[in-house]
Amino acid sequence: MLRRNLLQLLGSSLAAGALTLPTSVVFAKASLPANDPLRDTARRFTAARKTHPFLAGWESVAPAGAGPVSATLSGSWPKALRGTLLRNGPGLFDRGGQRYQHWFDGDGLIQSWHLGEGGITHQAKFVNTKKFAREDRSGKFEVMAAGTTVPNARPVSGPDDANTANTSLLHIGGKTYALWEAGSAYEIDPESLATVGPKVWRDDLEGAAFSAHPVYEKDGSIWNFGLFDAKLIVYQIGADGALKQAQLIELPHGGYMHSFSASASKLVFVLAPLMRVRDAGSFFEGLGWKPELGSLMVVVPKSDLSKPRFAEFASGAAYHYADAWDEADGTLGLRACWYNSGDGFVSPFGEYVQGYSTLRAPHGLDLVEIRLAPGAKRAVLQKSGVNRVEFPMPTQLMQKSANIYLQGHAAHPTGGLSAVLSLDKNGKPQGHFDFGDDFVLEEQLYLRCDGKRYTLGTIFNAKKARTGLVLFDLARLSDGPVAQAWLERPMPLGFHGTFLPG
Amino acid sequence: MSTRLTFIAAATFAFNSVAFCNSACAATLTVKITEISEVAGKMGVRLVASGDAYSGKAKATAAQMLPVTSKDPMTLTFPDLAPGTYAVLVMHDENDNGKLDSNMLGIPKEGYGFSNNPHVMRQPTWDETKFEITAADIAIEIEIL
Repeated sequence: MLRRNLLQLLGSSLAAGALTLPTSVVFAKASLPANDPLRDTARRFTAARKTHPFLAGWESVAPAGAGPVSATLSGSWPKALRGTLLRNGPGLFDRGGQRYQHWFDGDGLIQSWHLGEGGITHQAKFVNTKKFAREDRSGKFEVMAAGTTVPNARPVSGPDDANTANTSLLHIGGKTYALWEAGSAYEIDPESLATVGPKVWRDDLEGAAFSAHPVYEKDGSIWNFGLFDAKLIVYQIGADGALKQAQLIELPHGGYMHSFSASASKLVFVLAPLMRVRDAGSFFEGLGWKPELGSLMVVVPKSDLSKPRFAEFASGAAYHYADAWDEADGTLGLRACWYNSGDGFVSPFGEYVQGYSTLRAPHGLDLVEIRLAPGAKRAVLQKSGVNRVEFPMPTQLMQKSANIYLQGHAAHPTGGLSAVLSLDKNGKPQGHFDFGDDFVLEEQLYLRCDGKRYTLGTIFNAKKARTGLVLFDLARLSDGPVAQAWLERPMPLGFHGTFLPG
Repeated sequence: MSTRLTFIAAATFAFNSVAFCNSACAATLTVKITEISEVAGKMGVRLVASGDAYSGKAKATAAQMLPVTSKDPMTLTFPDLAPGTYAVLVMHDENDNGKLDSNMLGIPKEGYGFSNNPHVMRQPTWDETKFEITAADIAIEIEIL
């Protein structure tokens, strides 16, 4: 009886190819070096932070979180603008005397800016992921991080063992999720910021990659993807929060992809030629730039997710894609903030995280337009002439947006994004406002209130080491923010957020 | 996003008397299984004595399957083993459905482990999981992932 059951067990389950180990966050064994580089990093950062206030942008928040506290308001906050800006980003870089070396490694810290009748209240709480809970109990790093080789890291069984849920937020079907990209979405309570747990969209999707950049469809549903080597899952989640469909697409090869875009009829994905070339170490440390592969565009009709079309074009990489559109002749277009090479792409602001006070400028970050003609095997990339921009925010979906708002890099010591720019449909600048060398402007969200158009987002005063909130009236963007709210303390620089009205 | 890491475990499983010997040269292997996360289903443990057996191309030396009744470490023994090179593969069939469940990407949803607890991000190889048994009894510990 025992043997028969065992035959059933192993004969059917450990069959050839049945067991695939995760790759994006399963890491090779790291031997313990004589000098722990993570302790050296911690010492260097602590020393540098004393003389460089801007490094507060990469300083850890206590595991218990922060707040709630009231922000100091100035300017003219519209009375009708009520709701909560939720932002996500890495917030804990240090444990047990060790410090991560990559910005993307920090545990997900959800920051809440509640705009209520009594003012603006800020609080922050970590997503209680399996990784965070485990490391909080032990007081040390336990698993390999996305971009840092943790000495003697314990092996993980799948991406969710190392999921930091630190990249963005999604609100759909009345529920709010903290998103990573290589593992599950984590549901959180948007008011208390308490963690509910990892979301399973369907049994066969448990623990599967779910990117941090879903794209809204006009009916309120969302599209999203998960990438695992050369396997791409395309998701559609209904406006009610239930999975509508999921399609597995086999790609010609792997690569790296952080976001995507959608026209009215198609989903468009672009794989950057960043391949895992080293067996040891963390995921990002093991990536190699393979320009000979080129970039790979994957076009998937919304009407049939099982029929992808592939096209190659110039090698490059983007974290963020903006709008995508269908032209009358069937050409597909999209815009992106484009790095010309992998250099500077895989570890943005990595020097600061490690306690160095100078930064290599990224190669590129040009706003580009990529077009694929009907029947063409290659796409064509064209630069717009707008350079050193990130976090594109189109105001219209599924079409060439009438406006795009972006953050601009300044040539100041922090190398951060100090300006907000407005471009028209053709990429022509319409206005901008630059806070200057002492500020880093974070993602600004486009929203409407009382018939007016605004952007709302956070800002970091790098000189005074304080974090705030700024509101732009887009009718007079170049005049500067119409309202501000400041904390007395810095918060770690984050990635992406969402605004929940009400 | 990354390199695929697929490993192929044995498709076949059967006892093979070749590796057993009489009591004069016999050793007992004690396997302690730790980090059990779910009190459910059964723990399947497979002992192999060659690279071919490891990859399912030849018969395993021995196998056991035990119900999981606690998160406490589970200990089992393989007696009467001849000196040689062996590896142990463990899988936790948590829902007792007779297979190791995985998601659409092929990532296991149930626990598994190997001798030597290799910290690898690809298919653990026979070389990474193998260990030597002499005439003396031996105990190993396998951590369930």
